[in-house]
Parts: sequence; structure tokens; C-alpha cells
Amino acid sequence: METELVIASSPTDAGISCWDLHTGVEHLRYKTCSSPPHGLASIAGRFLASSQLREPKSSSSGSILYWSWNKPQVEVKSFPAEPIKPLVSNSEGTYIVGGGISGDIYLWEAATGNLLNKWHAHYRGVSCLVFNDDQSLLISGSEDGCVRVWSLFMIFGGVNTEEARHLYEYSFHEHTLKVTDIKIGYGGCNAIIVSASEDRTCKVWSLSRGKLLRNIVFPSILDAIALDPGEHVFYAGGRDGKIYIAALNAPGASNSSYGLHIIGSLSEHSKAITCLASSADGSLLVSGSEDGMIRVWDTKSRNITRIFRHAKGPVSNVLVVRQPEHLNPGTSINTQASSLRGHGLLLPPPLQKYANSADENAYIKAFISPQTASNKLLDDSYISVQTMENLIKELQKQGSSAAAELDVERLKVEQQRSVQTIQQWKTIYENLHQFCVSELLDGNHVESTNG
Amino acid sequence: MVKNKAQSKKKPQKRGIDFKKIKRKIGRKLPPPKNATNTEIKSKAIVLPEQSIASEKAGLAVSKKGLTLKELLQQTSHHNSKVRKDALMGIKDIFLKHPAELKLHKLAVIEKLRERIGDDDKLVREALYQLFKSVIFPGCKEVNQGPLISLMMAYIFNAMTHLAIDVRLMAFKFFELVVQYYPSSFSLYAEKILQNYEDILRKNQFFLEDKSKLKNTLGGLVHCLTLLPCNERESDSSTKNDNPAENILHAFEPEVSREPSGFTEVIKKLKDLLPILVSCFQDFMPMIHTIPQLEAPSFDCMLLILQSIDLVVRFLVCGIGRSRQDSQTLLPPKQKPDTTMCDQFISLAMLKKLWGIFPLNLVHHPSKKDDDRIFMLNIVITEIFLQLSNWNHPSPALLEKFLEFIERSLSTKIRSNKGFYEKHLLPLIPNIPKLTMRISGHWRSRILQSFTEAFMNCNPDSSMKLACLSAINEMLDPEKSCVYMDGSDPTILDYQITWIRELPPLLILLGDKNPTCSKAVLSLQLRLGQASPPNSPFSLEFDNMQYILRDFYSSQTDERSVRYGPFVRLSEDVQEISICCLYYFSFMDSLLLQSLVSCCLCPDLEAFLLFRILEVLHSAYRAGHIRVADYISFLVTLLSRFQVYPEETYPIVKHEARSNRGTYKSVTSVVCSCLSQIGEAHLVFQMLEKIIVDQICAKQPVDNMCALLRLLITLDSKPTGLSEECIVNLSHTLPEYLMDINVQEEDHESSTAISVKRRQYYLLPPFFLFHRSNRLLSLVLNVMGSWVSEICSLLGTNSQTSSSIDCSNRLRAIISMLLLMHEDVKIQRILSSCEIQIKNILHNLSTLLSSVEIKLTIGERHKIQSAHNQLRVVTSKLFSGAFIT
Repeated sequence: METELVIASSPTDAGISCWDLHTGVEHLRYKTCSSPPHGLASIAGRFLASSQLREPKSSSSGSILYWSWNKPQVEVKSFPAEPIKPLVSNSEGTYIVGGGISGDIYLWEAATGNLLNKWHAHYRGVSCLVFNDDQSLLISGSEDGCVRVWSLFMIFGGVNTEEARHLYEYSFHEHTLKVTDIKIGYGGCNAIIVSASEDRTCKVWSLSRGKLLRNIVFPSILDAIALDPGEHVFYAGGRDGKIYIAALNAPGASNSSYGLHIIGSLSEHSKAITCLASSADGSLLVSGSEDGMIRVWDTKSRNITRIFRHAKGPVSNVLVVRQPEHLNPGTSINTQASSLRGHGLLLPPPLQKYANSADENAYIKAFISPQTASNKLLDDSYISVQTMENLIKELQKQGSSAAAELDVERLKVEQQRSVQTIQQWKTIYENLHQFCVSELLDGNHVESTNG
Repeated sequence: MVKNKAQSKKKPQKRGIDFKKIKRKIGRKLPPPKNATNTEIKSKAIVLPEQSIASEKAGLAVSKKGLTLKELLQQTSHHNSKVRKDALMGIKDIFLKHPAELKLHKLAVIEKLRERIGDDDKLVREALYQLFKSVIFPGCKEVNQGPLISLMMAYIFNAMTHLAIDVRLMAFKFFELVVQYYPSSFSLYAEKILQNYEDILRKNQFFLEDKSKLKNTLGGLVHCLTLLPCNERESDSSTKNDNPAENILHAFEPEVSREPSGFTEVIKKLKDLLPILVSCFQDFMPMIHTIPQLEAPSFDCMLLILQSIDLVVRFLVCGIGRSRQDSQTLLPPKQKPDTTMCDQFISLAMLKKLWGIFPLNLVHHPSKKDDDRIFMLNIVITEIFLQLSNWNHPSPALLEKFLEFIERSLSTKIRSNKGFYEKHLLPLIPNIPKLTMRISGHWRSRILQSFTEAFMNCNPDSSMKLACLSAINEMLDPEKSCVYMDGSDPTILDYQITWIRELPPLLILLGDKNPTCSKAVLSLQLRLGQASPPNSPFSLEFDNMQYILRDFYSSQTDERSVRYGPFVRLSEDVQEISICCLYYFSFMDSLLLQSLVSCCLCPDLEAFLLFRILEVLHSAYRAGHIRVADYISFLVTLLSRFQVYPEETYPIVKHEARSNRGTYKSVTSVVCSCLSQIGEAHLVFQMLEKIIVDQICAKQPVDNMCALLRLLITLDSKPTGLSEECIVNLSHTLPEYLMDINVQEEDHESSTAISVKRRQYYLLPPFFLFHRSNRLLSLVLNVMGSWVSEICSLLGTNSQTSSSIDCSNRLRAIISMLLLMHEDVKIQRILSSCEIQIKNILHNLSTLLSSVEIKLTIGERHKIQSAHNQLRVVTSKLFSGAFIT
């Protein structure tokens, strides 16, 4: 079994803790992180990124921090134009997407930090973001209760951007209050989207048909959902401290004590559940709670198998990620890293605040690389179009200075040769001319004599 | 049956007897031999088979005339028309009497009867029609329709091409009947049917004489055309209506082809039909201009014609929309299917003649009734025009003609029969948003103006209001119309603001009488709150709504009494929406919160909604929409004013013996968690300390006291942060509270598990406080001690016995409270530090008991004595023997 890590952060400044899900061993604790819900992301397993909650007075800009796996300190700080709440990256780590409090969504290229696109997505703050399983669609939820589906193709200016009245593919506004969490199932464009909201409901949407499939009313506000990998059920963490289990496959069984479709609950009389994550095989469910505890549940037996203590304050994010190779104790990272970069894993430059001018972004096109092992180190994996362009230019420059002399030499020789041939041709022509003239003159002469 | 037989037997018997009697007269009287009777019996047996008809029918159903179904069916093809008709009546008779018969022989019967569809005799056809209409179709509703329809249709088509025009008309009537019961049959035969209609309408000059026949035919056509899938909205709503909760998520879709395949043919036929209908309509024109009065039948015909044109146009236009949609979503732009668009395309020019005669006017002095009729016709024409102009650009002059009509009809204020106009204007309203988007300049504002007038003037309960609301929704929702929300056009903005301002008064006006309309208003409001960009005029207007919305929740009439608004009485889903709206106010006025809190205190409010309000307000607070002070005062007021109805005191009359104590408990815990979440614990505590202690000192009922104390201890920390002043204040009220708990328990006289549990619930918060502040405990004990001495002196002097019982009760209550404190391990530890106070109490007691002159009954005295002893034993243990009497 692959080792999986539980990563957790909280809105109070308690750092990011990291445990092995199966053994319970605690790893490094990364410092200074106070993240809003959905504000923690592991960028393709290469490094950790988190948006930060900031005092509204301190500055108008937001902040996003990076940590590399093996250092507890913050390595890269970036300051986007406005406070960012949810943060997500696609599975290859090509893009980092953040949702601002004004309702704008920012899309950065992770490797260069370029702000590729920014668009007004919602009327109010973006509350959660998620990519679908083939990374071509972005689903965003907002504080105004709206769930929208964006196609990256359209975002990057696909064919009929100009024709379409709106950028989004779908806009669902059946939720009446803030959307707190969104999860998407497998199956490309046929997947289902499950969204939870403060209006006490979870709604299941069909991505292909763009309509509401199911509406499940819960006894409490829900802040987090986790989807079972088999999509038989999903788990919804409520503010009343219970994790409700709702059926996705079975037709509604109304005899449950909680309501239609809800088949049971996990509870340990804790405070409100704030976040949920499911292990890859679905056998374990990780829940973060307002009381600062992270509980690991066995989904079959519905018992707690392990409890991690994160901090005093509430937990805002829990992620389950595959353990990056270079985090294994024993493998020395520094020797493995390439000598070119000087030290260890180099993190990409900070994210830009504003978009580049249009011509600079002219090369940027939607590009999703084929699935590769996500544990690859950064240095050999990624070259952007722009860097390639620069390299080509550089090469051209270098070439011209070195090869100019050779060229001149070659040209000189060539010129000499052609001058010679011209001379030859000239003499031949003159001879011919001479001959013709004399011939004509002679002919006339003969004719006149004859005539 | 049996009787009948008996009667029929009698007649021949009598005759025989008469004959015999004559014989007897002549001859002698023979003694009857034994076998003579036997012959008589035999003769009976012989008689029976002779009357075979009656006997065979014994088990069968017969009509009034005694005929069986089989015979009747045979008679339906009799050459005499009267017999045929009677046979049909007989069949009807049988089926009415024996419905089971119909189920058994359904197909056979129809197979025979269908031959009569094309019958030459009018009466026979009529009888057949009645038979089908009243008996056969209603009886065969649930059964498999396929064979039934196909059986009928062959003959109906046959009759439709019959030479006699009457037969044809009847055939249409039959078809209409079939469609009525089996709507799917139209789509199966649409093409053929339309062809037949076309043929018959071509002969319209024939009809001009007999309008009732034409009316029937047209009625059938309209009915058929309504079955065309023509309305986008309807199809949308039908898909939405199927309850999403019922579906299985990953199930396969049933493979029903949504669009019947032969659409293109149908479209062609419909297009052929249009000019015929128009010319049909035109035939009526001369009449309008000559005849002084518009008679009912011709008006009906005209209306039906227009309606069918409208339906055809709708279908065609919808087809265009559909094909455009398809091309937008599915195909890249280069491969757009031009063919289908051309196929369904319908231009304004096609109905040019119709536009020419618009608006209809009677030349002669029209009566009121005629005026209304003409108005109806004009409305339908306008509707057709609006449908078409969505896809075409009409010439300005033409457009203006219609715009003028729309404006005039919408804005006419005073009308004698408002209901009539509203009913007929209704179909125009949904077209307004699209229309205003298309036109520009002064016409836009004129139309909007008249629309606004119509919206304001119509009855709040009417369906017109609903239609207007949905149109407004369309014009306000930025997702539905990109033009509107940007506010670039100031005229539109003005109207939009007018509409928004109209919403809250409308909501209050509607009250709880019209929940659908209230729901529409609230949904619109919610959408507005969700979609209005911050600091825009819309959000400003939205925020301003709350000043009027206050009364929707509750309003304070005077100091004491509160009048609850419609909110409390509306249904749950409407309430839910209105609560959600609260979240979107960018700030919440304290007065709105006040009216909300009095609404929350309403005993009729469902507990579920109370929690919803708390949740939403908490979210709103977290989003910064409510000021801290307002929020705190909301929560504290809720806790201190909540009226708890214990099950015993006000049981049956008011609340069906249902106590809301449990609700209050959960309210308390929710409020505690809300308040503890609003910020740093010690800061919150500092803010709230004074408020809560003041509330506690204001003499609340026990439950509210307990809740407030609970709130205090949730916010307080381990070594108490209470100020000296607060501790002193608390020490004055806490003893009362402790006594009250005891008194309440005494009242019940039950030490069941429930009451013990409840007492623990009440005692927990003060014990917590004592645990955190020893000083508070000693002060409380002081107060108790002073009470004891007071009572003692009172008992010593006063002679009234009634108060003495009271006094002794109090004494016992104090003692039992001390004992309870002693039971708690933590308090026990602290009690040891309050030796002086306890000793003081004990001392007072012992002097009281030892004194001679107190006025106590022996029983009372004994009770106090035993309690005193108990206390003494316990305390002596506590102070490890250092106890002195």
C-alpha cells in the first residue's frame, strides 16, 4: 500500500501538521500558516501551498505561501491583488487557481508564476474550487450560493469565446446560501458533482446534463463533504459534529431517522466538523473538527481508528496525499537534486500580482500534459512556452556571432567563383556576338554582290 | 329474471286449466292418479325449452329491450337507420349496466362499431359519438391504447375523405375525441391529420353559412395543435417537475425519443396550413366592416383561427430556437445546420395579410361587449407578432403599430372589468423582457412605463402579478439578460429600482393568503441579493428593503404587545427562503433584528425555523453584515425573553401538552457556541459580563436564569474573570435561584430520574461559578445565613401560623440546598473554606429549635430537626470533628 499523508492546517496560526495516515507517525510541522477553508493545496505533490487569512486592515492584498516538503519555514511568499480563499491546482501541478473574495478567479502558471487569466466568476466571494478528474473543467462555488462549471478551454480563449454570452458552461443557483464544499466524482464529463451549502442541503448535479439530480436535506449546516471512491455514498460533515452518510445509488429510503437518502452517521460528540478527506481506497475517512482534533474513521466499521491533535483552534483543512518520494526518511534530498540549481528542490517563483500585457501572453494556450508520475522533481519536468521561446532566441543570437566569420569566408569564395564564371560567360558572349555580326555582314555582302 | 319466468309461464297454463274445466263439467270426476302430477311436472319441463330466448339470456347481459350484445352488434349494420341507432343505444345501455362486459369485449366491439363512423345517417353518427364519448373511452382509459387507436384511425381517415361534408366534420369530431383520451395519437398521425384539416378548411366558403360547424372543426384543430411541443418553458418545467429525489443517480435514461421523428414533414404541413388559416380569417373581415354587431359564433371562429395560427407560429418559432440551441452547443460553428434553419424558418412576410388588418376595429358604434371581443382578437394577433418578431426584424412602422397597441392596453388604468383584461393580457407579459431588449430609445421606456403601471395596478392575488414578477425576474437577473444589470441605460435602471421598491410592500400586502405569490416575491428578492454587485444601486435598494421588511416578521404595536407579521403563518419553504434573504443584506439594521427576535419568541414558530434563523444570522455575522453589539443583544434577548412552557403548568390548552423546554435547552447551547465563536474569549467575556449579570439580576424565570448562567460560564475562564461588582450582584440573586430550583422540585414531589437530571442541569452552572470563585460561594452562604436568622427571628415573634409553614419550608429548602452542595465533590472541597458561614447557619438553627416559644407544629418542627441533624452530621465530617454545637 502506498503511504498516504494527512496534512492539516487551521485558521489560527498553528502551522501545517503532517502525519502518516496508516502508522500515525508525525512528520515535519510547517510553520506560520493560517489558512481559510479549502485554502491548502499540495501542488502535484511537489510542494505545499496555502492561501492566508489576513487582517483586513493590514493590507488590501492577499498572500499565498509555499513550503517545500523538507523545510518547516516558508520559502516563497506571493501577494496577489486581493485576499485569496480557496486554492487548488490541477493534478499535474501546471496551474494554480485561486478564488478571491470579490468573486474573481485567478489562474497562475505554477512554474513561472505568471498570472495567465483572471475573470469575474461570481457576484460574491469564491468559497471553493475543484478540478474534475480529467482536469479540463473547473468547478467553483460561491458565497452567493452559486455553483459554476468552467471549461479551461473557454477560459483560455477557445473557439467560440466571442460567440458565447458567458464563459461558464453551467451555472446552478438552486442553493440559497453559501456553498461550503464541492466534490466531483469520476467519469469525465459524465461525472456527478456534489455540493454542500449552508442552507442545510447537499445537491447532486449531473455534469453532462447540467441539471439537479438529487436534493438531500440534512439536519444541520454542512461544511464539508467527501465522496466515497466507489460513489456509493458520500459523507457530509455537519456543524452539529456528526458526519452524515448519504446514499448515492440506492433509491430514497425514507425510513431513516435523519431524512431521505441519509443512511446513517458517524459521531463522536465532537464540535462542528469543518473538513473531510477520504483515503485513496476509501477505507478511511479523515475529519477535521472545530476542536482541533483530526479523527480517522474506518468507513466499514464506522469506528475511529486514530486521533491526531493538530492545535487548540479549529482545523480548517485536511488533505490526504500520497507521500512524496523525497520525503522518505533516509533518502538524502540534497545529493539527489541537480547540481545546476545549487540547493535542493527549488520552488517556483512567486505568483504574479497582475497579468502580463497581452502580447507577452500570446503564446499561452490551453495545454494539459499527459499524465506523468507526479513525484518527479521540478527541475527536469517543466519548461514553459515562454522559456523555450527565450532559449530559441538566445540560440539564434549565439549562432550568428560565431558563424558569421565562417559565412563571410564562404561567401567570399563563392563570390570569386561567380566572378570567374561571369568573366567566362562574358567572353563567350562577346565571341558569339563577334561571330554573328561578321556572319551577318558577310551574308549581306554576299547578297549584295549576288544581287 | 325469476319473476319474469314465472309470469311468462302462467299464461299458457291458464288456458289449459280452462280447457280442463270444461271437460270436468261434462264428465265425471276422476280421482287423480299418482302419475298425473308427474305429467304436469313434465309439461312444465316441456314448456321451458319452448321459450328458448328467455332462458338463453339468463346468464347474459341484456339491454332494456332484452337483446344481447351480440345481437345488438349485428343490428348496427342493419339497413334501417333507425334500427342501427337503436342498436347503438342498446349497446350503451348494456355497457352502462355491466361495465365488465366492456372490458371483456372491448376490441371486438370497437372493431364492429368503427364501421359506423362513416355512417350516412346523422343520427346514427351522433349516437355513436355519444356512445364513444360517454361510455367506451372513459371505460378503456387504463388499458393498452395502441391497438384501440389503430383500429379507430383507419376508419376515421376514411370518413375524413368522405364525399358528404357532414360525415367529414363528424370524423374530425371523432378524432378530437380520440385525441382527448389518447393525446399520443396525434403525434402518430399528425401529418395525415393536418393534411385533412387543410383540405377541409380550403372549402371555407361553405362554412361561412354554418359557423357552428366551422367552430367545431377549428376547436378540434386548436386542440390538436396544443399537443405540439411548442413551448420551451413548458418543456423545461416538465423536466424540472419530475422529482429529482426519486431518480436513481447512475441509472440509464429511459430511451424515449423526446422529439418525434417526423417533425420535418409536420413542419411542412403546418406551413401549408398557415396561409389557409389567414385567408379563412380574412373572410370574416368584410363582415366586421358591415355588420353592426359582432355575433358570438363568428367571433368564436375568428378567435379559434387566431389561436391556431398562434399555436402554429409558436411551434415553428420554438423549432428555430431549438435548432439554434443545438447548433450552439453541439456543433462547431462552421457546420451549423443551415438546412434545418431554413426548414423551420418562418418570416413575418408569411402573415403579412394578418398584419395588414391589425388593429381590428368595428366601424359601427361598438357596444362594450364587442369592444372586449375585438380586444381579445387584437391581443392574440399581437401575441403572434411578438412570437415571430423574436427571430425577425420587423419594419419600424409595423413594430410601432404593435408597440402602440401594447402600450395602450397595458397602461389603461381604470377598467370596468379588470379581471377580464388581466386574463387576456397575461400571455403578453412573458414577451415583455425580450421585446424591451430589442427595441430602443423612447419606445423602450414607454413600454417599460406601461409595464410598470400594469404591474402596480393589478390585483396582488391575480395571476397577472405572478406573470409580472417572473418577467421582472427575467429583467433583473443578470444571467438571463446581459443587457439589464449593467446599468448603462439610466431609464431601465429607474424602472428596475421602481420594481425593487415595490417588492417589500407587496410582500406585506400579500400576507399569508397567497403563498405562491409570496414565494415568487421572495425568490426574486433572494436572487437580487445573490446577484447584486456590492456598492451598486441594486445592492443599495436591496439593503433598503429591510426597513419595510421588518413588518413582514413582526411589528411592535406598543410597549407590551407584538403583532406577528405574515412570516409566522406562511408555509415552511417560503419561510426558509425569506430567512435566506437575510444573509444577503450587507448590513442589518438593529430594528430588523428586534423584529426578528420577537418573531423568534413567538410560541407558534417551529423550533426548526428558530435554529435556521440563528444559523443564518451567525453566518451573516461572520460575513460582517451585523454589528457585534446588535448581534449580542439579539442573542441575549432571545435567551432572557424566551418563554418556557413546562408540560405541567400550561398543558393542554395552549401547546398540546408539549413542553418547549428541550428546544430552549438546545437554543441555549447554540447561543453559547455562537457567542463563544465571535472572537477572543476574554474580550467577549469582558463585553458580555455586565450585560449578562444585569439580565440575571433582573429576576428571570428559572429556565432563563439557568440559560444565562450557562452562557456566563461558557464565556468565563477557570479562575473567574468576573469583576467584584458582578460577584456581589450575583450573590444577591443566586440564592433566590437556588431556592427556586428547590421549590420547583418540591412542587413536583417526585424524585424520578428525569427530575434529578433536570435539577442537575439547573445546578451545574452555579456550581461551576462557585468552583471558579470561592468568594462568590461565601457571599451566597452569607446571604443564606442572614435569611436563616431572619426567619428564626420571624418565627420567634410572629404569631401567624400560615406564614410559619412558609418559613419552615424555606428553612428546609436552604438546608437541602446546602446538602446538595455538599454532595458535589468539588463544591465540598470549597465548602470547607466557608466554615464560619455554615457554622453560623447551624448555630441559628439550633437556637431556633431549642427555643420554646416558636410557633411551629410538631410535624414541621420534626422535619426541620431531622434536616438539621443531617446537615450537622455531614458538616461535622467535613470539618473533621471541629464542630461545636
